Amino acid sequence: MSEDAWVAAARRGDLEAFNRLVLAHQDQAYRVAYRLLGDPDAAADATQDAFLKAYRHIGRFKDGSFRAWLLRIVTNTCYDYLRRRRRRPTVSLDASLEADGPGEASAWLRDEHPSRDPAGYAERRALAAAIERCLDDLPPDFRAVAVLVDVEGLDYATAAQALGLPVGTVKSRLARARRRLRDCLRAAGWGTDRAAGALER
Amino acid sequence: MTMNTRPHPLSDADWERLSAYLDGALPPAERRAVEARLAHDPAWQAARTELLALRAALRDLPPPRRPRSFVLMPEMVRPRARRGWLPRRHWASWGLAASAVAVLALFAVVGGWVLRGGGVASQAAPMPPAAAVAEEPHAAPRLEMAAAPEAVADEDATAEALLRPEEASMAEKTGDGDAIAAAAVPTDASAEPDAAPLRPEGGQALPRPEEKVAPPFTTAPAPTPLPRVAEPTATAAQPGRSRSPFPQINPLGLTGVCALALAVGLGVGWWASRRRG
Repeated sequence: MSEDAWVAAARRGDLEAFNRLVLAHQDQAYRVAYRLLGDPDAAADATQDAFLKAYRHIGRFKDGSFRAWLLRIVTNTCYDYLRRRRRRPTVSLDASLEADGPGEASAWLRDEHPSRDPAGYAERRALAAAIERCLDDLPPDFRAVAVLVDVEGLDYATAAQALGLPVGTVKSRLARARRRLRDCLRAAGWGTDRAAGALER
Repeated sequence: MTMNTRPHPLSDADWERLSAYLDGALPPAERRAVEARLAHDPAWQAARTELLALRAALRDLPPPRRPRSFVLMPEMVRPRARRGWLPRRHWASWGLAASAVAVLALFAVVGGWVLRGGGVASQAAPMPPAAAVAEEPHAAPRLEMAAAPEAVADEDATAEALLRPEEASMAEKTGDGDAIAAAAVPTDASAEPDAAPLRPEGGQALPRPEEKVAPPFTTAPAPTPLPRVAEPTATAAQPGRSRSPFPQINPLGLTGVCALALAVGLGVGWWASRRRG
């Protein structure tokens, strides 16, 4: 069955069909939520919330990309979480940056085998941590565009749908996000040469 | 090519154009214009290197591990409609509140009935007031009893040593005069020869001081105890039942009624929550 067929069945209230869609999209949904929130627990909660909302409101999904429609719900849910968090912050900014920084990156890279090139592994790990910190520093609107296009590889049209923005806004916002990221990385000691070198190893 | 050698940074518009060009998102005419600039402008070339490296680094970010499946369970998607005039989630607490109100109401009703009934009963039968009067002095010595062993202990250092651990454990339940008195007995026994009559007396010491508090301990209590032993136990059995000023109605009945009311209230609350849930 194609995704359209699952969507059609899900719109008739078929939970099993909807869960097929969940299985197909939950990895990306969680990744996006994680990138936007920078916290695994909140990301899991937001992802679950988003799928629940998607199921309840799937009647509103007309046509086009289900992925984009779903990611729109995910990003909106994450914005809600961020707004709530800003209203009553539980951790200081420094502490959260500290917690979300190198430690997280090391958790993801645990599966890779550094034995071949320990120095290169450490360098890539440091770069990933720096990028995460710089992503965290971006305003949420900019971060969302950078995450969807640059991290997740969505095209402008899909990203625009997922963010409810015109394509032109995605284009300009993405360019500004990239400029900020470049500046941030450079300030952290990650010039282009060093970053490219780390990626080549 | 490094950052440091960039001659003049691109304008925001140019940077955006180049950024979109690298994503293949420019219309053909603009694309050709960008390619022309890239062919001979070092600033554009440097910017392109930066953007490509940045994009590659972002794409290279290790994905976070999904902690669990987000598949929806049927109970998660049960329709939330059919709400009553109260939020369904609060029905449990509403049930509790209802039962609490029921208990309070029953307390009030039963209390009022007891007060009225007690007054009538005291007029009709002179017995209860007498028991209440007899009860009053009983309560006070009961409290004194807790202090009494200390006084004994002050007199005798060894008794103090004996009492210390007992006191500590008894401190919580001060009303437990029997045990303290029992602990105090050995000192009396060691001090006085006629320990045998005192031992049962010590065991029953609780009700005893209600008539004569000071005399039995300080002066010679030895002869009196034996005949009295039976008497205090008799009074000891009665006070337990007639502790309240309204002895006829008070016992188990009130707590039973309250327990019943609580059960009914909880039942109503549970039933309501079940019906709505």
